[in-house]
Amino acid sequence: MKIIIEFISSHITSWGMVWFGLIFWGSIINEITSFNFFNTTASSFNLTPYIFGLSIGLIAKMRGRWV
Amino acid sequence: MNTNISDLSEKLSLEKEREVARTFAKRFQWEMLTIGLGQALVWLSMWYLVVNGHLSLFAGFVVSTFCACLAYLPSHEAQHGNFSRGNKKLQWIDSLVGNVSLITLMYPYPLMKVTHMKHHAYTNDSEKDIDYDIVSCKNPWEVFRYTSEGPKKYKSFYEVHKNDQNFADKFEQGVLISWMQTIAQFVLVVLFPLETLFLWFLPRKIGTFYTAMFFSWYPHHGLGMGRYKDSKFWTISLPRYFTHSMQLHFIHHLYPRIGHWDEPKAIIALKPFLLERGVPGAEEIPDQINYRSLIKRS
Repeated sequence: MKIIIEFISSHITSWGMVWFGLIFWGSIINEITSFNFFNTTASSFNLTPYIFGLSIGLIAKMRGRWV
Repeated sequence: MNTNISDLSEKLSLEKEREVARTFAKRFQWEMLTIGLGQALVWLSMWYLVVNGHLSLFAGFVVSTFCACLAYLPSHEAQHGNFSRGNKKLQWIDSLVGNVSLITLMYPYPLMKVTHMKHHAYTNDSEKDIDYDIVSCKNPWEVFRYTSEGPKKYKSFYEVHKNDQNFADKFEQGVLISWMQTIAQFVLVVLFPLETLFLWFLPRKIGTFYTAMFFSWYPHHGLGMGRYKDSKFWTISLPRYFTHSMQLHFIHHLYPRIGHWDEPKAIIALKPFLLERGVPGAEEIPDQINYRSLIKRS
């Protein structure tokens, strides 16, 4: 059990920002783009917001901070 | 003459000071219990009202932010056991208020409790004080940047204190709660993206910044270590309710068991002792409590 917790803890330390970008910011951006401001087609903007969120997370991981 | 000086120093001795302080450390803090549980209930009701379209998202955001700013202090009372007051039968109230009140801020109570106890034990110690990174920020912008990054700095403090078994156990328990809270937030953001952003994420970021500014940065910034030296009286133009009377945080570090609601009365009673010890700002303590900032701007 302790090994599992340590593995998860280590993973979150390294990749927490990336997961947060993908899931949290991806979902937020997806919701905003679903208002269809950019007049995109349904198939493209379903994935794009999450890729954008993932990118935000990756950038934050590389910088070591969000702000 | 010598006898008078001797009488005076006896009247203002540390024992007398503690005796006076103890009289304010007995009452059940029902106000803090009401605020703690009340804000959490109001915050939860925002979800129901906004998701079902009974309230606008903006109104929900404003109310949730207000709740987040009220969320920490009731839990802080619980962290010091100021509800149970040493009565084991009442410790469930500490646990209830401590845990429930912090949901709005998404903090795990066991972790906050043990790290706060270390803050009291090692106030302003650059290695051992959990709040030192906030206190050492040069300005409010730095505090904002620090708080916006989340609790990752806590891990380094685990390494410092991990030999304290109680600390390690409670810390690990807190980490598990923190993961559960994060998973809950992820589930909610997938189901209700904008509601999660405006009712939880942004309010708790604002609430965390508010808490860090008024509970940590202002009272401890620029100070050293030791009793009467690690906290200060400070001034602000706002009425004291806007800052939870945190201009008086000094008294909390002298006597953490004094209930928060009774701190203004306690500080007035303790004024002669603080004057005797030459505490900076003690001369500005008023003789009567009112809604204004208790310590006058000099």
